[in-house]
Amino acid sequence: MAVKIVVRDITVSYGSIRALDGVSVELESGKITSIVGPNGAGKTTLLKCINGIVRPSAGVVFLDGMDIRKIKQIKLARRMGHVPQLPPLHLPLTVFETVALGRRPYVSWVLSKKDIRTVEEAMKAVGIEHLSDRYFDELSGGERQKVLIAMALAQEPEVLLLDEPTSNLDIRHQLEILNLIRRLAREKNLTVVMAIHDLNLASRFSDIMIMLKDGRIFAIGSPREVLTPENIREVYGVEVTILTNPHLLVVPIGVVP
Amino acid sequence: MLASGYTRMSKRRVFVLMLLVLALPLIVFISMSVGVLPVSPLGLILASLSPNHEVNPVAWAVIWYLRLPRALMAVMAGAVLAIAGVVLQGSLRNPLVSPFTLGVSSGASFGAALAIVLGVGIVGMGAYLIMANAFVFALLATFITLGIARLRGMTAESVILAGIAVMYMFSAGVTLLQYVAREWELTELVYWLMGDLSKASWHRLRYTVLAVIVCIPLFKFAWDLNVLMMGDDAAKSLGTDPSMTRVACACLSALAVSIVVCMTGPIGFIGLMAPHLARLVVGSDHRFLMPTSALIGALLLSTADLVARTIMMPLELPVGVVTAFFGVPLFVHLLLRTRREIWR
Repeated sequence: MAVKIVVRDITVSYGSIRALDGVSVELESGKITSIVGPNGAGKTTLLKCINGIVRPSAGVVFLDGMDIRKIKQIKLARRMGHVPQLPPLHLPLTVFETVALGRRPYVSWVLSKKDIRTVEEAMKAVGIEHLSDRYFDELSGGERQKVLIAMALAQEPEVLLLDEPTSNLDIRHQLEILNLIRRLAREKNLTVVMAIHDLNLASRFSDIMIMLKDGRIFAIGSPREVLTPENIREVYGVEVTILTNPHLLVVPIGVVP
Repeated sequence: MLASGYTRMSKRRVFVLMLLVLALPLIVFISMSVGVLPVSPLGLILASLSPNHEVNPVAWAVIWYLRLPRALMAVMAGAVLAIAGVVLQGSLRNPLVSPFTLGVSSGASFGAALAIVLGVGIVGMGAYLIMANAFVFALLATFITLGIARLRGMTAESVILAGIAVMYMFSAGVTLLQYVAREWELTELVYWLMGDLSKASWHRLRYTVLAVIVCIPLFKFAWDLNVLMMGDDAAKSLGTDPSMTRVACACLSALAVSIVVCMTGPIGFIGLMAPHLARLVVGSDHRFLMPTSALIGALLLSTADLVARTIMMPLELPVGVVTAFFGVPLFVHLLLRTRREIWR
């Protein structure tokens, strides 16, 4: 089933600051879309709008043609998983219990056999079976990130939203997590949208790239189309050289005065 | 099986719950047997079984009209305070929160003080004036707190800060009334403010049952409180409405606690301590945490009241003093002993 998200003309204001200003974009299933842009460009806000966490002051988000404001939050939670940027510092639960929170949109009191099976599958999918009985607080940053992804998977979503899934991770874990996300997108035909800072990782793992500047879409397209020296100079104020062999690589030269 | 650890843990939790359930009738039974007038447990059973109570009618009256309602009151009041404590700590994501954080106890105290010192009240007279006043002002304090917090989007911080502000306001009111009170009024007020269960009766027990019933819908929020541990945004994306959960938990628990406090006065510490003790034994899943807290709260208050009644017999101590004197060292000991961080 092809899930399509249509974001139409979304504007979000926090007080006098416009976090998003007339953003429109269409997202397809089975594809990984990356949102890049400098700090404060509106990446997180865009993800939260798609998830219905933030209500835009203008504009609409459609999920398969349905206005998400008309979908109950609990129904939406069965279709969209969201991996937050900042995991809680302390969570007094075991890994199994944490991943089981992803079943919240389905359960009323007891975890059914199916719920438990789904939790187990989600843990296997991200490779954290061995952590099942450990406490969340005892885990490393990379392990926590995997637990949170497993939690989102336990929601059995069609859409997976990730906010900076690789920040605070070493390069091995960065690659592991992004490979995992790519595999999930292909296998489960998920619509994946992630906000990400690292342009090189973003270019390597995404099909479509959205470059935001001051709450507006500055450029959109394949990584090669978006990551040009001109765009990066304009959006980040940084002079770069782009290498293309074997992967696209953005090499910063210096800050534009 | 990945879930084997979870299943094992769940079984252990159910077992702990059953043990606590079994302990309840035991403590009620002991409470009924011990006191200034000693009654043997066997005589007690005979007394309650024989319809024409040929056994000592005084003993029968003491047990039936004094000790039993008081023991049941301790059980129910303790459970209500503990449940309110656990849902408020959970929904406000703060380990220092107690049922009184919303201003319930200071509101109730102010209401009682108004009735005792100035004789001003909403309805009723005498003891009922105090009770009705305490109840109304406890709810009023809660609504002021939630009203202020609403202006700031009902975030956890806004509720706590508003609650503390309201608490100070009503406490100042109580202090003022103490200042203008005459000697005998002051005595009564101070006694009321200590909080105790000596006024328990079958009649008052009916209201306490009502308070317990008010707490029942709170169990519906167990999963919501679980996902709230992840933070507001994550809770939303899991289908929980954080501010709705907070308002519902705050209103229901404030109502239940107001009913209890207007009869017993502010009995502190149970609502703070019971949830933490429960976390030590069953972990933080609210489906287990809520009933366990309720049972631990019931047992704690029953035990504390038993000690308060008997430790300096025939003198009775206020139960609040006992919870503090004996509860705090136990609590600190248990908290220090655990290796793991039980609070997030």
